[in-house]
Amino acid sequence: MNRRDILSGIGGAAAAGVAGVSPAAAQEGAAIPDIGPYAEPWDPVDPEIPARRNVAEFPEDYFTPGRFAGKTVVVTGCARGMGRGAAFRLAREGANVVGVDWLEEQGRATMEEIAAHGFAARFVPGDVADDATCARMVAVAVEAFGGVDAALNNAGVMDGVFSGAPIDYAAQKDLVFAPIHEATEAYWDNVFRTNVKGVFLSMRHELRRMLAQGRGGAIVNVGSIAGLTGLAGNPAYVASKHAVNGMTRNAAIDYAPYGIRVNSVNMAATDTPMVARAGALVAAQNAASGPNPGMGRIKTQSILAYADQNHRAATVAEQVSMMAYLLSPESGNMTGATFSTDGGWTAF
Amino acid sequence: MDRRDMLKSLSAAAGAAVAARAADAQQANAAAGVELENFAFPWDPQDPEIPGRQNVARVPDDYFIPGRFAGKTFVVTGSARGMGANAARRLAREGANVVGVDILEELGAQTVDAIRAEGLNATFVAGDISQDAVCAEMVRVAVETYGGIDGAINNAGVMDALFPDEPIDYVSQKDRLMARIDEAGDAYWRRVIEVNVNGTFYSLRHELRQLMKQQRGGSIVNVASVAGIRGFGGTPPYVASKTRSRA
Repeated sequence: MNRRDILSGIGGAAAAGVAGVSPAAAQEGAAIPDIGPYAEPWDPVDPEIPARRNVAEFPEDYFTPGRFAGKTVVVTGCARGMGRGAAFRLAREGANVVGVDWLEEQGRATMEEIAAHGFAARFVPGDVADDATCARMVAVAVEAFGGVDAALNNAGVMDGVFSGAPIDYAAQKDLVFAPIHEATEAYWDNVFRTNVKGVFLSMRHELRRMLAQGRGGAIVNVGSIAGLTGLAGNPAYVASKHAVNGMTRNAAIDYAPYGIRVNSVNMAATDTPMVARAGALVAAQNAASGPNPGMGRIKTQSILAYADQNHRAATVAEQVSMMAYLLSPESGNMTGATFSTDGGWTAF
Repeated sequence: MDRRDMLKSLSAAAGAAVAARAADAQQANAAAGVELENFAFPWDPQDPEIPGRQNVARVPDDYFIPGRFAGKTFVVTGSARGMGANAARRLAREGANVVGVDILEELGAQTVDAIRAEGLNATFVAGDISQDAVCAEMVRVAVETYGGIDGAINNAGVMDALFPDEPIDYVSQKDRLMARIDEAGDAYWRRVIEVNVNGTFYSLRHELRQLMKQQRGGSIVNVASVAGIRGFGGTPPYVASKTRSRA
């Protein structure tokens, strides 16, 4: 049966008592986003394995219509990367979005861009490890949109350098990742401050509000493969992301009685400014201190990156897709899970 | 900035292209058939000791994402009832062509007929996926009817050796029912392994042969269980079979 047959079949289906908008009718809307193919041929073809395919990237503006209609979501680390992608997608799906970032200029620009598209968006500048910022983001959500239904605690760092500062390895050396025997307390404390204290304070304010509302909710914390496995050269990042997963499991238990679900997503290399910065710092570190085992040399690629012709990282859109699902009521049976959104990194 | 201010600034700041994108999103949002409503609902009656207690809301059985599988074809094994029936219907509503497979011939046919009655595309193949020929047939039917497959949900599975709709009569069925290892019967072990392990292997083999032939990628989901991750008392072959399904 082709598309036209489906459409002509609607009358009969409606007569048979299908409630609401019929599936075929819903798909009639010209605005339904097209997700595209599963995979694309290698170009040029691998002469030895002509059947090789790359998993296709889907469009960055793909979204699930109406899933967040009337809901309000807080997104920390909204200025760029996954936070920016998530804020856009949630807004397209109908959510009111409150974005938070310590990159004030970029964060504000992102949220203004979302607002300029006709969506409901607010920006709260600040550091998530500062309790006042987390109080403020929830207060803004309440004042502007009447409450908080879900939160994406995405703000995170891989090193102790302020993420808005240009890279200057010689000056920043003490704040850059290093194996434990060479690591400074300043590096350790800064990474833990954002990744652990920031998620704790974010969740504290989000959960207080959700409890006061008495209508449940969903929280997604952004972990990393470094929260599930070891990763060379960056002890504070590994330990702090393990802590994120620990907090996720704890909160899932404590708040299940209130209908609040808490999960984490754990990605391998993703195409974001944070990862690009870490790469630049690793290069600077290698240049400064000569060949060393370095960060990430023991295992550098996920299954999908290995199999891809260009060894591409995960896209922001691929990560945001799972975040949005877990933030929506559609994931009603998901809680306390530390999802491997990692291209298969933890499968081998 | 409230919504009205945003709309005002919209035309000034960004122009017609931007307006069109927002309108597209709003139009698509309006077209979504089934709404997800609340995350949770208060207990009724409320817990006097913890008045804030909430139950997580059920996802509506008929919730779906419009258009996501437009033009794609999926095989769903164990499609007569339970998760398989829901998956077959939802995939069809999201635009997929569905080939349902089940050993329960009558119920399997009814489930597929109900999907077709909505004006959607579905075909039923009756059979036992622990038979290689059935797995060959389900893929053959998908190719013949819809031109190929894009993926599969290998969902058919069993916890014991009873026929899925066989009435329970413990005493006469003891050899075919779940039991600890020291008490487990051969028929029980054999059937659980046949369906959950061999059946999943045969399903994957025929699906993957077709996907390899088509050379356009695809996506397969195997249904395992918590028993595939953790121990689970009293069902040794089920735990063993679901652990193997993970591999």
